[in-house]
Amino acid sequence: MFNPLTPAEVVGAIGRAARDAARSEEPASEFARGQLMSAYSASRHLGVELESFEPELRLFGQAVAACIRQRADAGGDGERMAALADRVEATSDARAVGDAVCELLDALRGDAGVAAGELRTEVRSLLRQLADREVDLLADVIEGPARA
Amino acid sequence: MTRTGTAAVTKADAVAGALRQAGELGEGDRITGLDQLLGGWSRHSFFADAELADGATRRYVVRAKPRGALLDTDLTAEYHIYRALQGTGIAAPRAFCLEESDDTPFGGPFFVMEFIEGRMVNMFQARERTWLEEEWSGSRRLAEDMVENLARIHALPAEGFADVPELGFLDVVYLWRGVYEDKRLIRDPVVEEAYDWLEDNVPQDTWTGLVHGDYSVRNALVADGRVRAILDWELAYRGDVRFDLGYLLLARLAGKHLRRRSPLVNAFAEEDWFLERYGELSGRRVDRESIRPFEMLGIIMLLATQFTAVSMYTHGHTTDMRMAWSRFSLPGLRQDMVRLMQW
Repeated sequence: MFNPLTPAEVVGAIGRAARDAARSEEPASEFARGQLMSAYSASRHLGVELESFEPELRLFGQAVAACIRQRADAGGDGERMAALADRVEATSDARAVGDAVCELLDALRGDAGVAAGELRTEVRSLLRQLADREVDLLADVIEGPARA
Repeated sequence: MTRTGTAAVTKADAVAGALRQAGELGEGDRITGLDQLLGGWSRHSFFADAELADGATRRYVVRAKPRGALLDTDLTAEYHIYRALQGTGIAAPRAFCLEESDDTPFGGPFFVMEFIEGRMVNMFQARERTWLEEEWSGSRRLAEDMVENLARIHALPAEGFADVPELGFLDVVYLWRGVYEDKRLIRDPVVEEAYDWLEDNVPQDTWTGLVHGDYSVRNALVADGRVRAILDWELAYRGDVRFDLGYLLLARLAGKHLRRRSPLVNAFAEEDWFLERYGELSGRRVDRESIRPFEMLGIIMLLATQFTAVSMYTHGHTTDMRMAWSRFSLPGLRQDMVRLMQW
């Protein structure tokens, strides 16, 4: 989910590849065909992202916020942690969620307490679930359903 | 493959001149064709066809580092590695000459080496994985060649590779973390936790030797089921050779984009067999658990190339769509990282 280039930027890249192919007066080379195949592949991945990533990220943010609030004494600065909880659940923008979660983990790294350790474990578990979910959503479309 | 008029003639003259100076071509010999190969983000490769004065023909391979290459790796060191590999029993082409100037028709330094017949096996393609699995089920010669060459590389004395950088475990971590910090367009909590995990999991010992840095069947020339040459040494360094083992064990190297595609190491051999055989040949028993930090090092190296590629595209340094596409390789690698960290 924390992938560089926004969906809009990816759309721009796909469009540029199509434009360059359309404008070319050279016969289609292997390189040029490869560019269009990359653009096609990007469009397939992007379709999944546009269709399904935002609700997943929102659920993730809400779960992280709930964990932070349940461990109010973790991370040292209660106000800062409360603000992080508010930030992470208020958005489904990947960049904003990434920033907030990184700041949360930075704060927990400096706290040797039990509550911080437990919160870190919970956040990591949520990140793991998010990573698996992202792969499953993409793979079902790009590579077909998983074989039993 | 591409050919342009005046630019190709100039490049051909540069290659011919370098080969004549090395004594590989005579005055009456000419470079008559120069065709760029597909692929290669940090290096451009070309076939250079020569017509000799006696009517014979010969083919060479040119490796060039263009301006604005994806990774700022040392082409001179790469050339010297090929030179030093001669006579070691490691499958490698002969390297004839090096032009170190940045001001060449190739847009940067280049060297010329021997052409060896063979193909590079792409483990991301299903038919290639099927072929590799058939080779494994059959003669296993390819698997033997891959592990033998690797063990020989790791046994090379360090003295022959003085201009190859020496990097400790943490040096490698900081190198690739530096690329992330410089090139990232978005903060990734899994990636940042992985760098910290690596700092908490520094191996207690070091297996010092020459590390290939990108050892894979994809960087081997294969013909008739045998490895004819190990190529692409631009990421080589002197350090802990277990990096090459960890890298090979990555699901990515067995063709994983999103889901695991082959149960075999680099799609060519069963893991237990590979590690045991490596242990026999190297004289060092491999503890599987000890390789995990090196798997993670391999992932952060791959990530660094992806971050750099996307950054170059974003800032207009390239219009190559494959660089933008790199961002889609991150989900699979991120999943592998959380599993390695046992979250």
